[in-house]
Order: sequence, then structure tokens, then C-alpha cells
Amino acid sequence: MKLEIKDLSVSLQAQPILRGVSLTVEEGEFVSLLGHSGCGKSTLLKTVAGILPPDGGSILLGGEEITKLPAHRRGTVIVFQDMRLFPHMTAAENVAFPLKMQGVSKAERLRTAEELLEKVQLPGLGQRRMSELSGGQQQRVALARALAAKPKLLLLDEPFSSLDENLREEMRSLVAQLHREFGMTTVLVTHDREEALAMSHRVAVMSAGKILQYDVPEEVYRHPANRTVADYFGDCCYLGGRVENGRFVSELFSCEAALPDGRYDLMLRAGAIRTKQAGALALTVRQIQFRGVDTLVTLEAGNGQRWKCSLRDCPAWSVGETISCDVTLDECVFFSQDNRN
Amino acid sequence: MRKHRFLSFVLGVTAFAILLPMAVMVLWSVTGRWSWPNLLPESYTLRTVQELLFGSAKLPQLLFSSIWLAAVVAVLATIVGVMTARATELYTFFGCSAVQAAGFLPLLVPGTVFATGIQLTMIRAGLSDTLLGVVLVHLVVALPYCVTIMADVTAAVGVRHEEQAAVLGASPLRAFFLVTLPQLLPGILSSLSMGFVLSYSQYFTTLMVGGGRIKTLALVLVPYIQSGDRALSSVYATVFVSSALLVFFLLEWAIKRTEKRGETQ
Amino acid sequence: MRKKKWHIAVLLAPFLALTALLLLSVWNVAIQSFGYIPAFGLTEFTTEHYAKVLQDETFLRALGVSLRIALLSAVLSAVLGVLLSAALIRCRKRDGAMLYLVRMPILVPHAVVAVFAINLLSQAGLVARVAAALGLIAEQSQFPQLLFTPDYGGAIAAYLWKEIPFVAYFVLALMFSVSDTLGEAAENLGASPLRSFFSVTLPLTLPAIVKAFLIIFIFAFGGYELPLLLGATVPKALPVQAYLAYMSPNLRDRPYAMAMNGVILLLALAMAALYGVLTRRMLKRMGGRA
Repeated sequence: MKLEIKDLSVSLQAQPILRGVSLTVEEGEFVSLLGHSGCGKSTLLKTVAGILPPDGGSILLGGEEITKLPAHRRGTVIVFQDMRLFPHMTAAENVAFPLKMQGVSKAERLRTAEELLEKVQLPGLGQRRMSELSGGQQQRVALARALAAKPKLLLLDEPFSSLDENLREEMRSLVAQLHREFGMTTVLVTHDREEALAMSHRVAVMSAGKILQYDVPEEVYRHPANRTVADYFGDCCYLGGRVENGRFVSELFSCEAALPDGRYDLMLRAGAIRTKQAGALALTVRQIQFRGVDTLVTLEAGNGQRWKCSLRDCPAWSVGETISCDVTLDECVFFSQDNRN
Repeated sequence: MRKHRFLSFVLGVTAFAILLPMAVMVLWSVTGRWSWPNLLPESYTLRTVQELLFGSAKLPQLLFSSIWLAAVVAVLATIVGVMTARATELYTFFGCSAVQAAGFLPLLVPGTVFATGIQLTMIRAGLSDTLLGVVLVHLVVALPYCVTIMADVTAAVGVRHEEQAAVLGASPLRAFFLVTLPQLLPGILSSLSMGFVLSYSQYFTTLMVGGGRIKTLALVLVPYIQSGDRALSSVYATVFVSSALLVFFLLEWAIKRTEKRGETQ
Repeated sequence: MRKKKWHIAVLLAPFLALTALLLLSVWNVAIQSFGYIPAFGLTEFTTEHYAKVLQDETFLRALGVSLRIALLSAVLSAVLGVLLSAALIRCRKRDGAMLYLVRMPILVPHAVVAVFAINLLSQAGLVARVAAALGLIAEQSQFPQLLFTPDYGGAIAAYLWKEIPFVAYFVLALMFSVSDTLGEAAENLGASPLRSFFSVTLPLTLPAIVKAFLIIFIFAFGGYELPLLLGATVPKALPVQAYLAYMSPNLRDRPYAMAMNGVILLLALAMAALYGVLTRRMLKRMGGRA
């Protein structure tokens, strides 16, 4: 169901955690909340689920106000990072738990539990105890249990961060597949940039209790709203300079820029540097690391800024050599220095 | 929300039920006359308190010897706790779990049975009616609590820092005293507190093994209660409770301080 | 892990010595109850003292009294202590002044609790005076006898005052960690707070609750001061009766007293064994996790 958060503020132990957050998630949409630990993204999730009380603002689910509703009547189910499976129940009993709460008959709920366990690729493991399941299997049970509740809104609180890399990949595609199949509105909290970009329809970047930018992944990555967002995705450097008469001039590089006159920082990502084409930027090769699929080349500009470029077939450069590169301007962003944020 | 109100009510009743008897005890200890059916005493006096503190009852000496006995028990029980916990938590040996289970034995043998059973042995060993004998039986009573407390902190602290110190050139004993002991301090203080309170409140074991020669507050209080003198037994009880609480809160304060220091490090 | 044998021996020496003292006491109770006390010239093993004890009306009534005290104190303390613990958690009073207040009764000696009971519950106590002030009674004697009665209500009330907070404090940490994670998850999955408590928090806190129950049961069963100070003259509680027999000037009564202690010990150990079986089963149900 459609989720609307309006001007929500939350504090814990008199510390403000969320400061006026507004966010709309359309029905069936998959949205990621991305940010460093402590930015308030998990707090937002718990407040939506009714575990934490807000100081102000409102939460609407499917157009209905749920701000005052107790947690167990909201239908907003969290898959917690630590999974929180009940150790005194079997896998099937865990999955059947929300159905039991809804008053579904025993036979019916055990059948549904078995079905859901199959959906998360755990057929026949229903009688296992939690201690008899591996981390990945426990994660699948937690997912199945959340689905069993038929949530109006599925909330995923860093559900993959406790798994190792291979399992994480597997779980991501399982979640994506389940989302396609069940189509429920989903909010994922994560600090993993790639995870957020790869899985979501839209990404909300959070910092210090606020949403800095909320847009489709391509926009958030290519056109960050401010430097904090840009820095979150990393591997970018800034060139300080001035725009005068529609032209940006810095000590390293100059180009066309349709902007009012003033001082600007040009955000330049490694991906915007075209090493194969000679151009306006002179860079020195500092390090060459062959990594198998690609080669990571560290390039340094005259002002000491460094970029790490991944190249599929790296020319036979030697460390210390200076090369001439071009820049793709549509992947660059200008930030005005006069009103920094 | 209704349930919340009920639970707040539970807390309110609890606080009242805990505080009321203590308040009444203090009131009785300064009561001159309190006749039926008055809700409050008609007259107050410090006579009983004066009598006990400065008169022939030798309450100060009694207080001192009770505290001394409990302090000795607390310190020894904690040392035993530290040593035992170190053996069971940081070493692996045959019978380790048996030792851990044996730590709970004193909880399973009622103190009355233990004291009765050991009396003859104490007489034979010449420990009956001696301070050492009483200390020994109190130690057995305090053992499970102090060992459990120390086992928990010892397992939490582990040997990682001690190993680091050893690699940096500290001898095993110095590594223990300089690196591990400070980290065990909050646990040690809790254990001292527990050992003190347990020894301080012992009645039957002290009576049996001390034979009336080793006098403690608990031992003196019981006959006063039996005699039915409320004012006098209330004064004794007030002194008894307030001294126990004083020691407890002092140690609690020390625990908070060491924990705070541990956090800032 | 280290393995140096002499280290272990040194570290465990004082513990083993104290444990030996306890076992020696148990051994003494055992052999003396079978009539073997060479110091008194008794060297023949016999079960007649147990037979005599088990046929003795006074003993059986004392046993009934002690079982009653232990069972009622332990059951009521466990139930009300769990309620108190839940209240502390729900009302977010897990630390600070309220928790210190709850810990206080644990520190108060039993003899002092007897003073409390007498000050409040006797026929001239504060409760009776309040009843009189409210016009419920006119005379002291109209107030129901609560202390020194054969049902040992006074002793049980005194135990409750001390042990309800003990249970609350004993289970608080575990109950909090369970309710803060799994209890929260249950509510998130649609369980009402009450259901979440009974279907998740309570079963997972049960091991600690049962342990507290056992400690209180054995303690109250073998307790001496409270039944002595607040109980009736007849019947007496088992430990009081046993002490009386033990102090009898007739040394021939000694094995008889020891048989009573033997019964107390056996029942305490039987409770502990029952506890062992129950916890093992509970652990198995929880899949081997404590």
C-alpha cells in the first residue's frame, strides 16, 4: 500500500534523531533508505512500524492515518538485521506465528507455512529448530515469516549485512524475485551503495536525520543534490574554479558551463574520465594494479587529487608517466561554492 | 494503554509495600508511647537509641564485630570466587563442568542442614565457637553467589588483554594484576557486596557454629523480637538495615565509578 | 586455552576445600541419621530413626508446615515477581531509583523482616490500626490473627516481601533482552502486547524463573528464623523442630534429629533433581540454546 510520511520527527533519550522527514512510497514500489549508521534510517523504519513513538508528524498507509495505531495492528512487518527468530519454535511455527495471531486455523497456517518455506527455497525444513539452520537459512525463514503476515508494507532493516558476500548476493536476488511475485510495497534500509542502487525503484539518501535526496538510482548517482550525497557514493574529486561568461575555468581544466557567474566546485568521478581520448586534462599515472577482470589505475592531477579508474584493457603505461585525458561532461556536476550545503 | 496503567499501579503498590515497613520500623525506634488505636505515636523519644548506643548494650562493639566478620567473609569469598572463576572459565581440564556444577551445591543444601551437619566436625577440629569456624561456614553459604558473579565477568573479560601484556613482556602475575584485575573490578565489587550482605544476615549458621560466643546483630536481634519489645527490636533492626544499606550503596557507588572510568578509557 | 595442571590445582584449592566442608556436612547428616555416632557410643547402622520419624505425628505436621511455606512462598513469589519484572520493563524503569528500591528487600535480613511483619500485621499493628480508623473493627481482638497461626501466613507474607523483588531482579535482565528483541518482533508480526508476552517473552524467560523458584523453595523449606519468629508453637516448621531435637539434652535423640535433617536434605535434592530434568527438557525444546 502507498506509504506517506509527513514531517516526521523522532527523538530518543531527548536526542533528536529524525528532524522533519517526509517521504512517499507508491503502492508496489521498492524504495531504499541509504545512509551511514546513525543517520536515523533504522529509527525511521521502527517509527513507521510503531515500535518507536514520534514526537510530531504523521504516517499514512493506504491513505489511512496510522500514527497512533499500536505496532501489532499496523501490518507493517520488519525483517530485522538480527532476524529475531523465536528459538522455542520450529521453522514452520515461526512462519505460522503471524497467521496464528490473525486467528487462522492450525491446519491452514501450517500449510501456508510449508508453501512459503518452499517459496524461500527451504522445502521440507519446517520441523527444524533455529539452532539447526545456517545463517542463510535463518534469513530465509525470517523472510518467509514476514511474508506470512501479508504485510501492507514490508520493511527490511539491513537484512543482509550479517551474511557473507556470496549469500548476500543470493538473498538480494531472492528478495527481488519475491518482490516481483508478491508486489508488496517495500522499504529497505541499507548502508550499502550498490545494494541500494541495484535493488530499488527509488533511493532516499539520509544524513543526520534528514532526507537529502529522493530519486531514481540513476539520478541520485549521476546528479547528486549536494556534496554530502555525492560523497556518499564516493570515488569523486572536486576541482575548484570559476564560471565566467558561460565557461568554467580551473587551474587544471576548463570547459563550457551554462551557469551564472561565480565560484564553483566541479565534481568529477573516475567514470567521467576518458583515458582513451586525449583532451584537456593532464594526469600522472601513480599506481597500476592488475585485478583479473580489470586493471585499477590510480591517476593524479597536478593539484594532488586522485582518481581510481577501472580499465578493461589497460594501455602499457608506466608509473610516473603523464597522460592526456578527456572528460565526459554529462557525468559531472557543478556545486556552487557560494551556497554550500 | 489500559494495561500500562495497571502495570504502573503494580509499581506504585510495590514501592509503597517496600517503603512502608521500613518507615514504620524507623518510627517505632523513636517511639515513646504508641497506644491502640492511634495511627501515629503519642510521644517520641531518643531514649532507646541512646541506651543502645551509649549504654551497657555495647551496640557499637556489636556493630563493629558484625561488620568486621562480614567484611572478612566478603573479601575471602571474592578471592575464592576470582580464583575458581579463573580456573573454570579460562582453563580447560577434565571435570571442569563438574566443578561448575559443584558451585551451586550450597544453594541445594539448606543452611540449617549444613550447619547442623558440620557442627560435630567443627567441635572436633576445635573451630566451634571461633571466628574462623563462623567465617568458614559463611564462606560456604556465600560461595555460589560470588563464584557465579566472578565467572560471568571473567568469561566476559577473557585472556586477550593478558596475552597481549605477556607478549609485551609482562610476567603472568603482573599481567593479571595490571591488566585483568582492573577489568574485573566491577564484578569484584558486586561480589564483595553480595558476600557482605549474605554473611551479615546469617542467623542459624552463626548460632550453630559460633555457639553464642561469636555475637552478631542478627544473633542479638532474634531474642529481642521473641521478647516482644517492639521499640527495642525496631532500633536494632534500624541499625541493622541502615548499616547493611550503607555498605551496599557505598559499593554500588564504587561500581558506578569504576564502570564510568572503564567507559572513558 | 591454557592447560598447566598446577595452576588449575592452586586456583581450585580453596573452592574444593569449601566444597569438601559442605560434602562432609552432608556425609555427617547421612551417617548420623542412620544411627552412627561413635562419639556417643552409637556404632550400629540402622534405618529405625527414619522409620520412627516417618511415623511421628509431630514430624509429619512439621513437614506439612514446611512444604506449605516453601510451596506458597515460591509459587506466589515467582508469579508476582514476574509481574513486577514485566511492569519494570513496560514502564521503562529498568534502572534508576525504582530498581534500587526493588533491590532493597534482597539486602534486608530475615530477622528484620520479622520485625516488619510484627509492626504491621499483628493485632496491634499498623494495618489493624488503619482498619480501626476506617471503622472496620472496634477492638484489637476483632482483627484477624495473621501471625503465630498454624497456617504460617505471617512467615509466608514475610518471605513474599523479600522474594518477590528477588524474582523480579533475578529475571529482569533476561526478560528485558528477550522482550526488547523477540517480543518486539512478535508485536511487529501482529501479536498484541499481552500475547507477545505469553507466547514469546514468558516461555523464553522460563529457565530463569524456574531457577529462581527452586532457590526460593529450598531456602524457604530449610529456613529457620521466619517460622521461628512468626509461626505457631504447634505445629512447628521442620527446621525448627529438627533444631529442637538436635539440642535435646538426651544424646540418644541426636540420630532422630539427624533423620529429620536427612528428610529436609532429600526433599531439597529431589526438587533440584526435578529442576534438572525440567531444564534439560526445556533446553531441548529450545533447540539446545540457553
